[in-house]
Amino acid sequence: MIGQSLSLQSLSKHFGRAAAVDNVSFDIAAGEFVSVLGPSGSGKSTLLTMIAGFEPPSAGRIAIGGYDITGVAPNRRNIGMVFQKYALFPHMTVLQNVAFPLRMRGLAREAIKDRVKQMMELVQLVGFDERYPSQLSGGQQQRVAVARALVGEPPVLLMDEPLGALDKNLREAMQLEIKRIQTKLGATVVYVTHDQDEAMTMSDRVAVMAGGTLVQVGAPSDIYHRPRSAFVAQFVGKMNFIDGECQHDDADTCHIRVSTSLTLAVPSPALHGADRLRRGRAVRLAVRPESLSFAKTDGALALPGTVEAEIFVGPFRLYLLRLATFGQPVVQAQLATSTHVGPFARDERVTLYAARDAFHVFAAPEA
Amino acid sequence: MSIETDIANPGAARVKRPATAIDRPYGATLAVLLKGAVLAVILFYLVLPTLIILPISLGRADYIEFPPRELTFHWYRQYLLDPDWMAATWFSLKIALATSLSATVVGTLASLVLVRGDLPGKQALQALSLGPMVVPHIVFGVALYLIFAPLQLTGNFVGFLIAHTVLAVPYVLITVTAALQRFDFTLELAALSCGASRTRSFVLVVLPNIAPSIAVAAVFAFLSSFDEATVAFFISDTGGKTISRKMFEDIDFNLTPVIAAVSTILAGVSLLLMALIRSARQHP
Amino acid sequence: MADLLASPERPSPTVKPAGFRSARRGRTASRYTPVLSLALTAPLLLLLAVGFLYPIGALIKLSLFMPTLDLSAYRKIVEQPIYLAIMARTFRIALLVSILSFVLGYPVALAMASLNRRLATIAAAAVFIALWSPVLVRSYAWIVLLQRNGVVNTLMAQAGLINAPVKLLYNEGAVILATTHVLLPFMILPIFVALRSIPRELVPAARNLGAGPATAFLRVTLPLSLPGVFAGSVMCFILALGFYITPALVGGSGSMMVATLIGQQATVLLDWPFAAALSTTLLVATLVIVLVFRKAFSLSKGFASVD
Repeated sequence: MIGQSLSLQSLSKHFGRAAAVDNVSFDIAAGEFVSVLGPSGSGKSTLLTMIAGFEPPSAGRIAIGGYDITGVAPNRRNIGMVFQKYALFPHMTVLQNVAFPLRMRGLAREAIKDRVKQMMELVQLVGFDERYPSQLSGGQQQRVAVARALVGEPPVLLMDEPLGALDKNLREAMQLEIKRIQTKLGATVVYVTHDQDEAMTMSDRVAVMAGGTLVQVGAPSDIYHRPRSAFVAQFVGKMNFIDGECQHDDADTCHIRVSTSLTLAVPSPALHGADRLRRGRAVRLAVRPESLSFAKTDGALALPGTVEAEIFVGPFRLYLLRLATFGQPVVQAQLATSTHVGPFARDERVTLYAARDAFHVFAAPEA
Repeated sequence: MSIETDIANPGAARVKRPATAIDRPYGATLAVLLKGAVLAVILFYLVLPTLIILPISLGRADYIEFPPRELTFHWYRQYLLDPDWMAATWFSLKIALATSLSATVVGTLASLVLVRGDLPGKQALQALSLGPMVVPHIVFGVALYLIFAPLQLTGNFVGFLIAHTVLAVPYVLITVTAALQRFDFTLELAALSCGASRTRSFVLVVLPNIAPSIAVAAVFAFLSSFDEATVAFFISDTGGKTISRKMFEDIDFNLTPVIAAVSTILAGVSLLLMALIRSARQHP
Repeated sequence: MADLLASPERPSPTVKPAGFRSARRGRTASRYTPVLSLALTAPLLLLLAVGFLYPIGALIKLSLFMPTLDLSAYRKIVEQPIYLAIMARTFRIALLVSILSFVLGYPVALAMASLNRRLATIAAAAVFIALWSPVLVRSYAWIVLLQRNGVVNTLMAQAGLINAPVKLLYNEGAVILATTHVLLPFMILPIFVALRSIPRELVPAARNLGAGPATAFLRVTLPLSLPGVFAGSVMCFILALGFYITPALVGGSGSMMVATLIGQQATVLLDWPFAAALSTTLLVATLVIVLVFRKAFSLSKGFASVD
């Protein structure tokens, strides 16, 4: 039956001594759309391969709908999968491709015909039955791949960077299309991608992977607004980092010295369950470009800096600003084009503002 | 190259301007003509032997006559009416077809392992299986004669089948492993994820996609047997000889234009089969 | 058996604890297990053992044991000047054929790799015709061309160049001419493959940097095609070394090569131990060359470009 729960328990995969996936535990609810987001080599594809059954895990357990499928052969798992380059059978027509999973299950000819017809309507490919994959555009091939993966009503649908081969506009259209189909059918989807926008747009939850482990799992807004590590903070969305030193952390507010003359009071990391920072600890202060606003300096105010460059990006202008804090880092700030406050000259002195909650504090790696 | 650099450095422009046919000095044209003539002579040398046999085979005279004074299919008729030639032809065809089948099956199965298998000593097997291409055929022929003679396998279908399959297998291995290396194995994973068993995904997905290459391998194997002469020379006998062996004997003892007719047919079959493969590959 | 029955729809209840047991039962879907691999290669292994290794092994054994260890057959090769002379001639002819194949083959490979499509097609067609015409047919054609009343003599007489037929056949010249013809494609194809793999923009780049056409060829094209030249030369040399058909048909007693000698000993004089010793010597020489030059010697290189 389509849309069942998926449970990964202490899953590991070792190639020789290296662990591609290291002790991953993760529960996905029935009908949930979860993206596994990570840079290449983070183990996300290996994770998918193990769920599909193409590689046996070195340790751990996989269960679908509460039943252990760890030792089940891939062709008996009934998992739907959409591959990176679609993997459509080039010697079969669109119809034969979509009917293939049903043929393998030994369904009656009439039943196959009806089911395939429904699927073709769902993915809006009516009339393409007799074409071969090579006669289709990238987007159409993508739809065939989705139809083939879903036609057998899989309890779990796996998607391995399925939109990577498409250009930007088509990719955005297909994101919404896949989301529409998934919602309509109530499919459980595990979607592997390295594209954070894709993960944000489509998912109920995002699982960020790095070095074979899950570093944070949460709703897209959670991941974006409350990154739990400097890695997640910089991997998801744009992020500025400002080096500083902890002056005092009272588990509610943390006072960070960012230059010899300036100390900022920001939310303590202890609010998210991290340890309280001790005095003198080197930290990295993170703040997103769109959280920063700034104006020409008219007096002596916090976070002073100078303008390095101004870049027009369409809906907003991106500024590169050099802060007068430790190490003089260059940070990015975005201002909506409509609220343009410039023009700014190069090296013009400005002052940056951000809401207190916009700052995240991460302990810097110990020297 | 921008205009500015040309202006800044007028000397460079002269060096960099590509030479065209129009502004080539006279000497260069002569060199081109000379190069063309040399190439034409070499190409003529390459095709001459193949092209000369056709007019010879169509001549009327009992001896080799060039250019032929009168064109006739007389020698082709002689070939078709001669029971010895016919026996040798059928024997060769039987062996070549059987060799093609056995070498293709044996080679394709082994190719799967060479590309995707887990087998200790795979490298050694690969080197060994290409051995028949390296070992001089005279050595292999004499060795086979030594073994086959006491077993009465000379002039024998089974003896030839073994010998020619050994010689044909490397061609199959090279062709099919190349096809398997080109094949995208995610297609097989896709078939598995669609519920197909290993066997069915091989039969329904892998096989249809490498089938053209297997067909090519089968033709290579067929021709390698049909045209094989050295080993056939040693393991034939009066009771069973291939068309190559019969030709070899007749060239030595009875040089009639029938041989030219047979040669034309042999070359025609080979070239036609290979040309078919080539065009099928270019326009799938 | 459990995994045959288990499927998400018809699941087996989860009784076993998480961990290694289930993991070990799985297998990598993209590879064949050793057992399956062995089963699939078994026919080939059997074929090579029975039809290849055993006969060659028996031949080597025959050359060494009769029935106890006896090297007299090998001593015969070394002690009788006529056999040493044949060995030396074989090496000399093989070397000459390789050099000649390079000289004649390189321009053809260049033409095949040329950007001029008509030229490339014509050259490729000529190589195709030569390569796929049976060796025996081509050897016969050389007899037709070169014999006393053959095509060449006839045409020369008609042109008034000669009064009496010239002896063109059954000598070393005929052997070299015909053998070079047969082996030429094996030189051309590896060179062509090497030339074709040279990035198209390199020669224009060299020209742009001030190199003339000759310099560009000598400093860019030629060095980059050397792997192909090397592979083709090794291939031609070892094939020429053990070549039987053509030298046996167009050569005479004064131009005998090792392969012809082996054939004569085995079929006419029936001196089997001696034929076996000569065969073993030829085999060892070939294998040594292949092993020494194995990096250059890529069997599939030239062959893959043929089809």
